[in-house]
Amino acid sequence: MIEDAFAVKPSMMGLKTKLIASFVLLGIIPLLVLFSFTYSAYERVMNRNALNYLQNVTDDIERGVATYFHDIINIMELQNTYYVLQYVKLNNLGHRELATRYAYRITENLDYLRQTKSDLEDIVITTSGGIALSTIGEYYVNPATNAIYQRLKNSRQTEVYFVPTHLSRFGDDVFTVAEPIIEEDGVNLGFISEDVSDRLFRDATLGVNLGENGYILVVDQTGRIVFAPDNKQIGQSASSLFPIDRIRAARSGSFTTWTQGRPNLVSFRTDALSGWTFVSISPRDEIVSGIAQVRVAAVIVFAVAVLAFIVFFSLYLSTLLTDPIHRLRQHMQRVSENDLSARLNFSSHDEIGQLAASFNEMIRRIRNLMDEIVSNQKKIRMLEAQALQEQIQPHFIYNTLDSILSLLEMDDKERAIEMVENFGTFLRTSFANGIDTISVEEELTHVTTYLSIQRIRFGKSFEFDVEVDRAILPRRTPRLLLQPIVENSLLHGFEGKSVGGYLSIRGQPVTDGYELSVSDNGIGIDERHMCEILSALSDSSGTFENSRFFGLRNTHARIQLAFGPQYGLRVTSIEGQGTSVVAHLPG
Amino acid sequence: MSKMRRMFSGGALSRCAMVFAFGTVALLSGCGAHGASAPHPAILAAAPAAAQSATDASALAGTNAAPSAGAADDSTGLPTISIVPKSLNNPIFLDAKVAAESEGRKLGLNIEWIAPYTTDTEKQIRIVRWLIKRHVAGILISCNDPAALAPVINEGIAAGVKIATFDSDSPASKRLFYVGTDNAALGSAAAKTLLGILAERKGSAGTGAGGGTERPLKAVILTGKKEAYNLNQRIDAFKRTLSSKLRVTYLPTLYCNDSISQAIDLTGQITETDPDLNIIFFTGGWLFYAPLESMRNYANWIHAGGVAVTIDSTYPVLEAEQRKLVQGVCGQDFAEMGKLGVELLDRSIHGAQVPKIVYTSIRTVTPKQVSSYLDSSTNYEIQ
Repeated sequence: MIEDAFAVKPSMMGLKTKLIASFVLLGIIPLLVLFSFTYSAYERVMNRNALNYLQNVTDDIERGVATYFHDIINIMELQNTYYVLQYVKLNNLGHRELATRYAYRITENLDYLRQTKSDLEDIVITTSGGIALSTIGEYYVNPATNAIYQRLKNSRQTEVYFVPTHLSRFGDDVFTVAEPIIEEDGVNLGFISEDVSDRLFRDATLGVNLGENGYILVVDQTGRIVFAPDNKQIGQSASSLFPIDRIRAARSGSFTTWTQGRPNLVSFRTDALSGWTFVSISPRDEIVSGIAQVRVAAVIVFAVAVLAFIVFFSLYLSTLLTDPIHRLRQHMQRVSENDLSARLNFSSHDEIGQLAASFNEMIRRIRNLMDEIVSNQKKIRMLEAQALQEQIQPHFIYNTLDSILSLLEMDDKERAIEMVENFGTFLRTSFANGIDTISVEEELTHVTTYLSIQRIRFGKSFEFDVEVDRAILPRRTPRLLLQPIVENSLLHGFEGKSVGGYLSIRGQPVTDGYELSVSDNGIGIDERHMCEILSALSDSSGTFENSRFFGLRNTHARIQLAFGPQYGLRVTSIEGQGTSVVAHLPG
Repeated sequence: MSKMRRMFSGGALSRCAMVFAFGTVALLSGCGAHGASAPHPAILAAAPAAAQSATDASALAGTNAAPSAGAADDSTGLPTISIVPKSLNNPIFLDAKVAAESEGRKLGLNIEWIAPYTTDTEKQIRIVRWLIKRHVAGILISCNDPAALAPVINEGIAAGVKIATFDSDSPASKRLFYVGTDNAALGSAAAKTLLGILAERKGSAGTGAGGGTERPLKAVILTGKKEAYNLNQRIDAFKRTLSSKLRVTYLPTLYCNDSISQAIDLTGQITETDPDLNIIFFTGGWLFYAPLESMRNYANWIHAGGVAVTIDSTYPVLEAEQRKLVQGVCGQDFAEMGKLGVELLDRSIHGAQVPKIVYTSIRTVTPKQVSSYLDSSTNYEIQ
């Protein structure tokens, strides 16, 4: 099906289709050229925008988390409250019974504060004596094996210690923020810590488009991964993912790395509190596709709009151009179906209008010509019928049959048979209805048959001979052309001449056709009659009412109707010597 | 700082705690304004290298990681018994805590007090699992939901941790023993106390009731958690004992989930919306830990002739009785529960056989006795 569609050749396409295709191509090609020129520039801009976008995302995430860090660090100011200090001091002094009095109230507040921050899982006050007080109560810890205590036990001033993601007592993924509890005199009493669910990092990326495979990492100052969506990566070096030096060199930035031949966009921002760096990693193709989604939609809308405009404009223009042609074609179709009455009306004077005017003129001429042809044909038929009627008059038939009968009575069978054969041949040629022209050879046969019949009828009062150039024998001639002429010679030329009549029939080619001539040695035509004959022959309108010179006029008219006014009969006569009639014919 | 100390120095326990929390929130309220751009002046960003170089792998987890297995998960080297009450916000357990810690010191044990802050069965289960993972020497638990806790208790027993129940039993579990009140007897005692009060009033109870035993009295029961085995035993016994002596119509039971604030709300609503109410039976003393001013509707109802009987005879409850906010008090001996629980667990840890059920004493405190009981009770509120 598709092959068929492509198999359509331009020559098979309509003019309108061609015009539309041309206009569309002319419209699209410049767009494509423009697009190819701007594509690389667009790519660069897109890449820069993607990096900017990713940087903004990373900055936002870091700012959000940093605010959270500030909040939970402020919660740790709780360590400076009276109850907490009393609780810690009493425990460190071994006064557990007294310390217990404070535990309930502190626990109540720890739980209340825990609820003030989402993702805050627990707040714990741990004494240097190994007692921990949290939102779930009091329990013992071993300071010697507690990493945070070991890290902070020598602190003499406030500092914040961030512990990377690990499992909490209940098996949840948390990271821990801790501060030492320092007395005014610098004595280290223990530490306060907060466990924060790693949902904080996961939720920070909610609603952010980093592409399908994009993700956020948190790495510490050494490049070790503190948080990753895949927990297996936690604790590992991030150097396999991107160059660590790049994120150490600045507080924030973005760059492109390549993994397996594909570009990854990396942007980072380091939190001042924790020293942790938030790194967004996103396959460029995905994030660009995400960012470009709106632009692509806009481009598509624009392209569709332009294309639609081009198509509609092309349609309009092509319709404007092809509609007259289409009308012309329809008109021609009507003409081809013999409807010559329709006329094209075009108000425009452009080429199409001129073509339509020319076409109208052509049709008018054709119509006139056809009318003329029809008229001529009618005349020809009428003349033929008249000629036939004239030639095959009943008395001719009667006389011929009577002659045949006489021959039979005279027992001259041979001549009777000859006459019957000649009469049959004569009638066959005479009644060849529907055939306008015959060959010269057939015409000569017909006239010699006629003369043969007449010789039998009239006795051998005349002689005739036929001498025709063989070259003209195949040429066409109006049927029954010569019979009226020889009949005139027999009836009028040889009038009163019982013997010695002579008819000469000649034929030879001439420059623009050929000529057939009939000459007799009859009485000739006097000048007055000659003038009348010439006048009758020159009367193109045809004087059919006048029966005078009917044979000559009929023959002359038939030639001219069939072949044009330059052809016809030419009569010359010398009174007392004879008459010559020449038929000039094309061929 | 000194101002904050003054704020904390007075008032009832809850009020004090609320003020304390408010003070801390006030500290937090300015956090957002600082933003991320201004580093904390005394904060040093610390690398986790120290944590990762710690010798104890579990300590890498930081604050709350499970210490190494065994009883000696602290620096003392003493066996640890973890006591898990229903919640931390229920002061009824304070006597038990003090007594248990005292007994622990006497027996050379570390006593831990660990529970979900509010009544939360799921969290209680997670805590027990954590204690089992730590492999503490013993666990004494008051079950929020006996059925839900039974499998976890069984896990601990299978893991070699000695687990017993106190206050609220899980009889279907494999716990070593139960030490606590005979809750059926306690419920029955409460019912008898109520009957005595009504008898003294010659059958009159409730606002304008003026009725007596001839017509049904309207009662409501306020209890803790719907699944609490011990509380349900008390309710059943209370109703059973009354049924043969008194015609009572019970309103739908109120569940405060061991929350003082919910107890206040529910009591205030029922006494306001149903002034014809004659009797309230508290299966625990949650309401009486609240400041007086928070229970005005209830106080009005009492003054109008309502009769209230409560379980628990802690200091705040006795104070309420002295102020005539409750007429009948049937107490449990939580101190005995704490002491006996630790003692029996210690014996069990050392391989001794212990009885399966040990009932602690019940006491009924009449208004005439309340002063002397107050003198002998511990007030945990900081004055």
